[in-house]
Amino acid sequence: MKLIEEGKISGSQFMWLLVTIVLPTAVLFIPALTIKYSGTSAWISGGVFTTIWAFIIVWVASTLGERFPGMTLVDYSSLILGKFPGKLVGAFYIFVLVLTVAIVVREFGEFLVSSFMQQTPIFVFNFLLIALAASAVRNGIEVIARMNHFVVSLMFFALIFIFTLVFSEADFKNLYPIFEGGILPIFRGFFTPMGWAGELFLIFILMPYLNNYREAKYAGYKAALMLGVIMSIDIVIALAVFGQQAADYVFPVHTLATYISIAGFLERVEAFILALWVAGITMKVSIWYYCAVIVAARTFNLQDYKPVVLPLGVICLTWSITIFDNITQLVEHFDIAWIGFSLTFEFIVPALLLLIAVLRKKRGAEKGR
Amino acid sequence: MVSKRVVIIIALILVFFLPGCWSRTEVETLAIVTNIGIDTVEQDGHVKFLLTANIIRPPLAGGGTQGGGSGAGKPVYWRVASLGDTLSDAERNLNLRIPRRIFYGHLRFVVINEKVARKGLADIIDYLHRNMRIRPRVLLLLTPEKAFDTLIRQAELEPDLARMIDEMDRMALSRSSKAFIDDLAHTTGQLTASGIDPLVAGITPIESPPTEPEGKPVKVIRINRGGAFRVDKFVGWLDSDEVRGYLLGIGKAQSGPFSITLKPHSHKDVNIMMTRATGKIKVDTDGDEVTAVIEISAEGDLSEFHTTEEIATDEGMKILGQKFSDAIKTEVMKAVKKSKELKSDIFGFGAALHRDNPAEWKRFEKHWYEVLPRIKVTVKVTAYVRRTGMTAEPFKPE
Repeated sequence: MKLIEEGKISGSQFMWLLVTIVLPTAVLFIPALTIKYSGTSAWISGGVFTTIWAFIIVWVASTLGERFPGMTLVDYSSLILGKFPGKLVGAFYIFVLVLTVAIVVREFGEFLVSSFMQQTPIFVFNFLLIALAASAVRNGIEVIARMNHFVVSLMFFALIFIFTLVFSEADFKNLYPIFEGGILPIFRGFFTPMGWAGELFLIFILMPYLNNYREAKYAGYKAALMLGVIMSIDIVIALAVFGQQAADYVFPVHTLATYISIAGFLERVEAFILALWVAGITMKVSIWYYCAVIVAARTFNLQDYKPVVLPLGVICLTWSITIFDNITQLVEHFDIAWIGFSLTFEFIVPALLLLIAVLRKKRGAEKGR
Repeated sequence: MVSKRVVIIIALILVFFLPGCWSRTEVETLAIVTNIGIDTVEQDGHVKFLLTANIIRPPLAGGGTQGGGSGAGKPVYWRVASLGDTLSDAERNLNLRIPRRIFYGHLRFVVINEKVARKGLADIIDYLHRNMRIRPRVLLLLTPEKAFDTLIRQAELEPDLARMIDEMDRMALSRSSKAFIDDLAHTTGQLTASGIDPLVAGITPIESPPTEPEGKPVKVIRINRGGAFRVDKFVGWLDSDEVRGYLLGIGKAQSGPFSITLKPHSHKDVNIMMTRATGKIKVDTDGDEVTAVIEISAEGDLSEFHTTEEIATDEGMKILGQKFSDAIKTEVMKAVKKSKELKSDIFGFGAALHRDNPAEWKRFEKHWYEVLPRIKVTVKVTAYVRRTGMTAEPFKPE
């Protein structure tokens, strides 16, 4: 069984990778999208419900991976479903991953253009990001994981920085009444972050690169919990400072950063926050891009994954430009289309694979690598 | 290895191109706007916006090293205005007159004409929020005259109006609590939330007697009132005492002098300086009746005493505390009365009901502004006078 890449990562590196897979864009977009539907109960849908959902996703993905230790997605889906359907699953995931990279890159570009550099064409940001990510991908998972370790700490620093400095402005009366309008709005608000939390499904693509595959599940749970806590704080602070009006901002966390003013001189820190944030999104794109590349290489039975990097990068870049006409489409995509679509590739397909594997009693060699 | 060296050399050369001139913005090409004023003007049957901007006066060419030579007589700011169909249009039309790019990054406050505010604030708020340079902390003010005129009034003690308003905002609650300048983010929040209406600080333009020997009268401003809104429409003014009543009610007041009458004199004979205060609003319903309780606790020090009675006794302090809480109560009730008169829910009774009892709020939400004047408001104050200042008993002239 070939892995295409020989890199190996440790359990804690794996966990931080999982955090980066979700966090950078989720923190930017989720508060507005959940508060829009769930109002004051947004933290329940965006924090509590999503954490539970993330646990389910982690369980499905890592159970599937544990059944086939040391095997890549394409290999074991061929084993489970037969050679051709297995390749189809691979092809499906190439599509999904490339699409997600394109969307994430677009989100990044939209954020920079609308809140910092209006004059710059979005192509510039997208191109630079893809180029940077491509170089990271060529260096392999070990490099990405180590770099990520560093960048995650920057991101956490940025978040803690925003949350603590803006805390004095928070009015927790804005969080009441909880459960207004019953459970339905909470569920509606949960659908959008569901897709984000579900991004943890990448576990079953990254798992073969783990030193000890048994650590995956635990690392996944830890990452899910951490994400749940951060997203809850994110939503609670956005609500407490801005109230319902947070739903009207495109990037509430960015507006929070612009709202910071300590003693009249610690102000205008959002550019600093941005610098840290760009690093985070670059890591997120690198990881997704890497997954796309190895799935593609494995699907087409290549000896090396490096030749795939450039073509996929070009596709991602072009797609990131053409995929949406305007930012409203981007937001609506997450609001409506993303729900069913993300459910398919994050939950239904992995769950079906697992189910069929159990029914057909397929499992990989116990030894692992 | 040679190739690696070549790559490094090329990379190093490329570094020189990085700090390039693409999309650069030099500070000399910017017109830094510190405040804007918004009026509407009728022209050819169309209502147009008149956008007035105070721009920091750029140092005159060559005057840099002489240190204050050019700045002595002239104010550091400068007023321009332009018309436009929309505010953005007016903003860009400014550039038909001035040669620099309008830069909002240092905008400190926005003055809105009272009549414009009567028609609605939502359009203006939208313009301010959409602009990425305008920060959510920009302060909002209302003015009864044309904002165009307000922006040329003289700043006192500070070099420009922006810094003056900024300092006054920082000071308002800790000195008198009789004025309160709220920012864009909060006002928008109150505008968009149901059951609470914004109160925007109001300017009173005054003509002050000369401020320097042999000077002329100067036109200055005073911030001594608050404009109450119904949803996004300005409906009426609260005077400075009512503003303090409002601030006490919502728990924002911090400090301020309370003049009270201890003996049935013709004048107020005691002053208590409030040092801290908290306020809380609870709203409940009983059938079709809505009741609100405003709970306030405050502390103060004796700062002036005009009678010769013995006061430095426990009993005396208790009496003063009682009078102090009566004074607070009166002020809050005045503000509540004004709020009911204007049908403007500045206290957020609706929002409080919404918080405590969402089901009941649903029932009243539709006709809240009819319910508002009928709300039974009780004010409960616990106020203490803690200290007497540097003297205990009043001096007795004998």
